[in-house]
Amino acid sequence: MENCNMVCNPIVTGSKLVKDENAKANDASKFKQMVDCLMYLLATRPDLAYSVCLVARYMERPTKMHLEVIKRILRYLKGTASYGILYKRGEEVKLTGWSDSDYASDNDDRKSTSGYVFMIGESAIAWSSKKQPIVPLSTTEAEYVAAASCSC
Amino acid sequence: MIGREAEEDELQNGLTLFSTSSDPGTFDEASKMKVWREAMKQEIDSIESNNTSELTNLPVGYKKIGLKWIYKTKLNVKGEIEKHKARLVAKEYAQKLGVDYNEVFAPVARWDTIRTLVAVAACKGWKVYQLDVKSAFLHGELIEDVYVEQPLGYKKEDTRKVYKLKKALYGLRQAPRAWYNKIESYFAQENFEKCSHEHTLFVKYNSDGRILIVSLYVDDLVYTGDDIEMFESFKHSIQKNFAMTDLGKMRYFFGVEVK
Repeated sequence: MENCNMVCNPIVTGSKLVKDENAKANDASKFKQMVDCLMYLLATRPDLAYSVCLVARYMERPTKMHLEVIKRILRYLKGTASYGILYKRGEEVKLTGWSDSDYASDNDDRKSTSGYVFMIGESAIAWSSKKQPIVPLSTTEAEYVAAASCSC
Repeated sequence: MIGREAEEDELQNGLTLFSTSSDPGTFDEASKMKVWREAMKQEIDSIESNNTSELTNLPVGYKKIGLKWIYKTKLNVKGEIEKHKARLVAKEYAQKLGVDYNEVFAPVARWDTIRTLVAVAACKGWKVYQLDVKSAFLHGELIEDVYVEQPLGYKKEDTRKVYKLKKALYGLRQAPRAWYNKIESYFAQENFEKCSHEHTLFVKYNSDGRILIVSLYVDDLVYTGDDIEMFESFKHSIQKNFAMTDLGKMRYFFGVEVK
């Protein structure tokens, strides 16, 4: 991976992952180790939250499709290794929060993903991307669940 | 004797050159090398100076808990050897709920809290400092009666005797909780206010309305505020209670660089 080409986003937009029972399983322990290492980066990298949490759902039986997503994250990281969060001096301490959800993004169980980010001034301080625990019946409900999880 | 020392040194150099993890796995291996013997001496000294235990007979009906030495070579940022560390730990798997321990939960700061603290400090133009407690878990006071065997290499004459612990050892199930209780009571005594949603965040105001914010991450303290005098008095008072390392301005926190 050291000589890989860089890419400009951690995941191909709109890419869907599924549990593939028929495909050949990869080495699960290696996969888990990679996910674990990527998870640690979430301490300073909100841009990776969605893609890392997405691959983390397939740790039980990873296949080629899932490994490719991880490889893309690694290629993205190669170009952005120096990224971090800048907390600027002298800004107003103003808290803003954002939340969003995607409706039924998981094709296996029709659950949605909620995400949120909180900022002080212009810099992010708290973020999360997480699959919702329930199956919502509408986009509105999915948004509502995301907003609720963001506020508590 | 001189010949033996030289041989040891050579052995060590050989190990550090050719192997990435040269840490000894057992007491027998470690006791052959001078650095590890010194490291163990240091650990025993710090346990004894802490007034951790007393030698007694094992009362009828109690079981003693085994001890083990753990060896680790600490590297600095450049990858050079910084120090050799020996740690005496208790074998927690021998502990039984309700006998040797009860509650084990201890809170840790969330990353969100630490980032918020840094963000607020940046906005206000405050400086962020870091302190580290040495052998933090050895400070925790035990409520339960725990007996441990005598450590390898430091056995007293009567080998049937056991140590009754007054303070926690690394490896005990309740060690993190005992430590948290200890430091929490220190903050309460110093009139800090504990955040009700994040139990590792402590805030203190002085009479002029100046503020000091402290966040606790097990044995790492990150603090900021708008008054230098409060920094100094806080540092003094906490150093009186616990052995501390002053890391100065926050630079490196759990693998995250702060510039």
